Amino acid sequence: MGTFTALAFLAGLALVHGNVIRGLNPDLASYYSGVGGSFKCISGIAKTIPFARVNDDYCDCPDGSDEPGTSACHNGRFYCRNLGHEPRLLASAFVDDGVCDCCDGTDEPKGKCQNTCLQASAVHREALKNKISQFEQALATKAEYVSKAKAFKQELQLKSSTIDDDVVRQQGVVDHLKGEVTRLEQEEAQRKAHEEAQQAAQQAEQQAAEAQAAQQADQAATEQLEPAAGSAVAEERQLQEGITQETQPEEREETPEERGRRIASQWTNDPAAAAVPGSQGDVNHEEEEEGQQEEGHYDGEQPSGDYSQGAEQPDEGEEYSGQQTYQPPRPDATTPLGEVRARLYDAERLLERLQKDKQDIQTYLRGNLDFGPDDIFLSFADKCFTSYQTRWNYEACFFKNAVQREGYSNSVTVGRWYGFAPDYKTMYFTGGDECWNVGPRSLTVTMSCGMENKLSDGEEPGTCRYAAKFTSPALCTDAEVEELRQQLRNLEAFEQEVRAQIAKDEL
Amino acid sequence: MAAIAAPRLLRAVPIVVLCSLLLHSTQHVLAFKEHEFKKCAQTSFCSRNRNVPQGANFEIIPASISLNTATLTATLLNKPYGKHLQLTLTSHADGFVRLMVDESPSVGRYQVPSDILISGWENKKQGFTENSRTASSITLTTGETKLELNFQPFTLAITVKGQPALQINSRNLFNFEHRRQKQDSDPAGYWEESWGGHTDSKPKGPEALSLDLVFPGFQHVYGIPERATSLSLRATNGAAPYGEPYRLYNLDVFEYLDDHPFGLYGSIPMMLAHKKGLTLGVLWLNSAEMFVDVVKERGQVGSQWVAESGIVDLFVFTAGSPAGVLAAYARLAGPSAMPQLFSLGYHQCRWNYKDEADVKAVDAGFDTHDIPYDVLWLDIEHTNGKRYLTWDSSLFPSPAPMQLDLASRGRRMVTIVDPHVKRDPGYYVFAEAEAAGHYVKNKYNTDFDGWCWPGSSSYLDVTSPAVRQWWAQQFTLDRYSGSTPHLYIWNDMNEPSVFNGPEITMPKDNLHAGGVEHRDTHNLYGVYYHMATAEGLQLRGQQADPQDGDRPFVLSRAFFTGTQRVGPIWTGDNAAQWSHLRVSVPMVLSLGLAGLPNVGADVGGFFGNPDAELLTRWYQLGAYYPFFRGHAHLETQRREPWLFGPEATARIRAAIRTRYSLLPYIYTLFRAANTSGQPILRPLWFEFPEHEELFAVDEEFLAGPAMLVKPVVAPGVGQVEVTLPGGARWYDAATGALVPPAAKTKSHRVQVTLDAIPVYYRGGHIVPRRERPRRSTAAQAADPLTLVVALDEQGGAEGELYMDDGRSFAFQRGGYLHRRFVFRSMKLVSSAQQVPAGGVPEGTLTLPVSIERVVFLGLPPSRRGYKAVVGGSRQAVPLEAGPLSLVAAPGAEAALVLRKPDLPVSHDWEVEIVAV
Repeated sequence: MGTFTALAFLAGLALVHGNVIRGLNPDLASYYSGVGGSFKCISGIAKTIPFARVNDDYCDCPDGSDEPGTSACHNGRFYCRNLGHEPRLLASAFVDDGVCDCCDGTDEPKGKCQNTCLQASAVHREALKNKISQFEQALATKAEYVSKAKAFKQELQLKSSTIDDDVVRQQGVVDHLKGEVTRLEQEEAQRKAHEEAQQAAQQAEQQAAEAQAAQQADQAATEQLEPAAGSAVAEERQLQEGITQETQPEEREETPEERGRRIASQWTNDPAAAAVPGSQGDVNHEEEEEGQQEEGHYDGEQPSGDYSQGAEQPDEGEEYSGQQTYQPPRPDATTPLGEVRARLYDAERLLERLQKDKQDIQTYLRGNLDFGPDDIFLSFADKCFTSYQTRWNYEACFFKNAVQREGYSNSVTVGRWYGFAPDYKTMYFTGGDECWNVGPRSLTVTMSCGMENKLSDGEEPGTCRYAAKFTSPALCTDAEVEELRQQLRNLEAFEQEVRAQIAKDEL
Repeated sequence: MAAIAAPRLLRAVPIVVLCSLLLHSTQHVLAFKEHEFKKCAQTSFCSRNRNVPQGANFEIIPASISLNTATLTATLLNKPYGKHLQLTLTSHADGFVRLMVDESPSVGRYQVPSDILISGWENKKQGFTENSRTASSITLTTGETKLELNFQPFTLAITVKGQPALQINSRNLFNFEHRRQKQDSDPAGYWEESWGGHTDSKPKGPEALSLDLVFPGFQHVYGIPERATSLSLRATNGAAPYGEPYRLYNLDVFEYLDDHPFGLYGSIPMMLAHKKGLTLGVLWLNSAEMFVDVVKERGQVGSQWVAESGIVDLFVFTAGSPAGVLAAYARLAGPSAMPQLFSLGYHQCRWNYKDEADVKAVDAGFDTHDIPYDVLWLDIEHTNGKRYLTWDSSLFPSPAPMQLDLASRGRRMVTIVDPHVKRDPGYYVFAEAEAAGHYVKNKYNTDFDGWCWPGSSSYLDVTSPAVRQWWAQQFTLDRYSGSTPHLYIWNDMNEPSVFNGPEITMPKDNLHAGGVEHRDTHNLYGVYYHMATAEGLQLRGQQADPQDGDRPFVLSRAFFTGTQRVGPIWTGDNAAQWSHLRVSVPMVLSLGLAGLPNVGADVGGFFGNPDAELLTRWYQLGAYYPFFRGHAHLETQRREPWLFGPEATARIRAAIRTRYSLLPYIYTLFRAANTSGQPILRPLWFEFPEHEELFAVDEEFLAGPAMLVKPVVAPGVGQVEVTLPGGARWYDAATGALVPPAAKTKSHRVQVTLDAIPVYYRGGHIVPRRERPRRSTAAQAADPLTLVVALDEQGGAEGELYMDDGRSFAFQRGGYLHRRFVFRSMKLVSSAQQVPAGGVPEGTLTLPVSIERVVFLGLPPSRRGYKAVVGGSRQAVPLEAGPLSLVAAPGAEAALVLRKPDLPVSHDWEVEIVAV
């Protein structure tokens, strides 16, 4: 026991050795002068202790100020100078806990940690350089947006004088072709009806004969199967595979797989997990599942993640055009009717494009909308961005509206386009669907500089008041990159100084 | 939560399916779907026995009685059938008697395998003395237990220490359905039973058993977990839902209700009855589905236990006290495993931490906010398509470096591994187990195929020792790719959960090794899977350190008797609701009384989103759960402790730090559980067994013998009523203030803020603490200790401290230190704790840890204060005014503190306190 106390005593001495108080924040040095041999706890209740109790590995001050260099107080702060990098204030919990937290290693006993401050600084410097080059790229992208917006505007202006006439004229072309198609179709239909009437009579006779034969065969098969040893297994398999013969869609029971999926979906709330296999929208999913089992490979493939939403989500903030609609294929133009249909198809597509132009001119040219400095946000015309959250996704379409979606089916309009804040760092969607007791929903999107266009962090901070964040190169400024360049210059200068200092210290 | 009230739009789907989807869409209103689970009336074996008096049919044939020292055998006749049963009564030196009834001759009915219990107890018998024998009865004595066996009809009455303790068949509800030939006249449900679209083929016909156990003079019974209900079990002949018997059938219950007799994920058929002067325990070792009715009549509690199959194998624990009953249970079923110290720290879990960057950010978040934690958990999404023991290589491309990075700060990782195996021939686990025939079979004896997270799955037949041995080998570092020694395991879904099976589990006519029906062994599936996984980690540890190994850490959801020897369990998928916070207390206490102390509920509630207040209150309670883990459902908002604003962060930080500061005490409690089966959290009556007014208290509890905890389980609460048992002294654990002592138990109105819940030290006890908040248990290892000495009326106090390396089995060969602290006559003495009897070696470990602070609560006032004389030193040090706890009440300096005595924890020493 004697040795024990002696050791603790020596350790205590070392902590204030040479007037250097371990872990002391230089800003607070004046409190630790030791004048009069006492120390006054810096904050909280007035308490004065003998100065020998500073850093003696016992917590005396409720504010932890008597132990800047030990772990004795739960609320102490340990200062590491981290010469060559950035100074740091560490929670006293991290002092002498076996983990190197300060890059200069002073938070642990001597010899435990290596000084990694210059390496840390180098990492920091490289990160800074990286960031600068990313910013430069973003600024280049921003310039592209500006020219894209400008070109779009010019194009609309060019079209604007003739657009109304163009639409009317093209409508005429379409109407004419539609008439042609109708006429040719009627002719065709008459001819077909005649032929089919003849064929139907023949087929009816044939089917009646076949049905009788099939019934007899079925009976024979059942009789054969029942006494066989494996019959039950076969039935079980049939059940498990969900093959039930006379399935009437309205009344059939769940297959075991459907039951499994439905129960699984209780936990996941995932429509895909509950979906009936083979039903609309789930086909790809099913094929993928079966494919995996048959081929039996699993290394490196994406997780099937069947019941989680996470695995099937695209990356957060995905961008796409809000104008995607289903396009039927162009008709086959090899028959005379087909040829006219194909012409009608082309004429309708052209009409659609003209109508779109007309609408764009209405919206973007005559709509009195504010597109920001240099009209830069015009480059997001027709663009929508989605923030994928765990349960609800948020989709914001510039100059249009914003919706909140749950799964595939449910959506609520959380606002229609209102405009930008004067500093163009916020955009608003207001007047969305009514919310009980609150009024119309609204979405506020805060915008900031980022390397890519991305909507994120969709949430509902207040009932039916939604918020999200949008980052884009369009929000980046020269001032920001200049600030980073200045940081880099300062850092490099500082490193020079430190190297000189270290060289001097070594001499 | 977004406020979408509109019903979901649905695609065109068939109507039956559509209906179920509609139900699904309103699940948050319906929650627990009663129609998915059977009631007694829908279950043939239960409905044909519940409250059906058949017990008078059974008679002992007097001439058949044979008494051989500690064993009595007799033939029990089922008169209407002329059927013979063999009754065996044995007496054991470890504090219990055993009653067995089986068919005679044996027809091979299922008996719970012996490895569910420990070995060796069968040989430690204690002889019977025959007191009297008449034509109608025989009376035996063993120790302080007296048994009276009556012949016509068969009844057995047990008295302990002169007090009536148990009557068997006194209400005529005993029954034993023997195996029989199928008859055309058999009632429906004998040979086949359909429910919920599933048909159970029941090839062995009816074989149910009914036990009629009456506890004379008792009003309170406890135990038979797992369910969300009160600690003192309510009668089951009341209003709904308490018109249903308690059910013991391990099931994956979706969104369970917070007050319901329905059985949940695990079962322990162990019940405690308690009255003034006597505690009795009964264990029916039977792993089939079981229903237990409780009726409370004037002067007694009656119970009827109906099991679907198996045999009668009833253990009656007669030690008399609550501690004695649990110690005896531990001598039969084994004590609680000594956990790794890290596993008593805080666990951070979520379904799911998405990828390596997420793991890194969450880990860093704890350090940024100065919040201690020890383990980060990965749920099912970390795997490659729910193929356990694999990694999703796009989300977790470098699992081993990720674990090593956590380990560099003393932390660990846990991954989930479930018993369903994806039916994919390219998945090595599936292919190997399939080739070796390791799966549970369906009734046609081919591999059972059920639906679970990965889709079509098979289930390892862990009831087979060979399968368990194979499974254990999957956890070695070379087999489990991407694992490191810092990785531990979580077993979920091991009821087993089968999404498309009856009641979301396996069909009862499935077949296990040896042709055993699933019906017989259902409740064992979980513990065997848990056991096999833990054996795997043990094997891995032995490979790294052949001498001392590494204690396994495996969390399980399903459990049975024996689980306590394997690892902790948690109370499954609870919800972020105040009622679930509240019911977690009786749930945890009930498990402790059933011999399974290492348990906890998901902090925050699994389903739904807790607000800052609920989450804060949950951490404040959770800090005392034996197993302390925050967990959340996939679709909940993120809820790491720092996401609810600076005030909530500070409160949660304080709660978790409280846990870490108590770890020396909690670890010592775990040692008591490990040596003598004592629960970590205890009902008040457990420590105050003579205080009748405490028998039903289940909203507050004692952590070990020395601390009383009153959780706050409602929002917006400014004051709470705290029941403090009379005759003891109680000190506010934040300030050290003594509550005015009272001879009788009193309810005290106590002001509370959001900052903490009321906690008290019990006079007469010494609690070791560590006051330095650290990032993990590993970082605390060298920290000095604080002793809180809370004096009783006589000015005395006692306590213990157990320490070891916190991780290996070295403690089993003496690698531990166990100190006893006694404060008497103003002298605090540290000496070696006496080793408990029964093969525990003396502790030989010394640790370079000191005691930096001794806090005295309840020293009589002294005008000039006190001084302390430490050891043989001549110099006296004055006791200073100081805070009881640096963390709990900064600034309060109401306690008397011995500052920095630097007492070495490994050695004997004395400190004398002298009035100045």
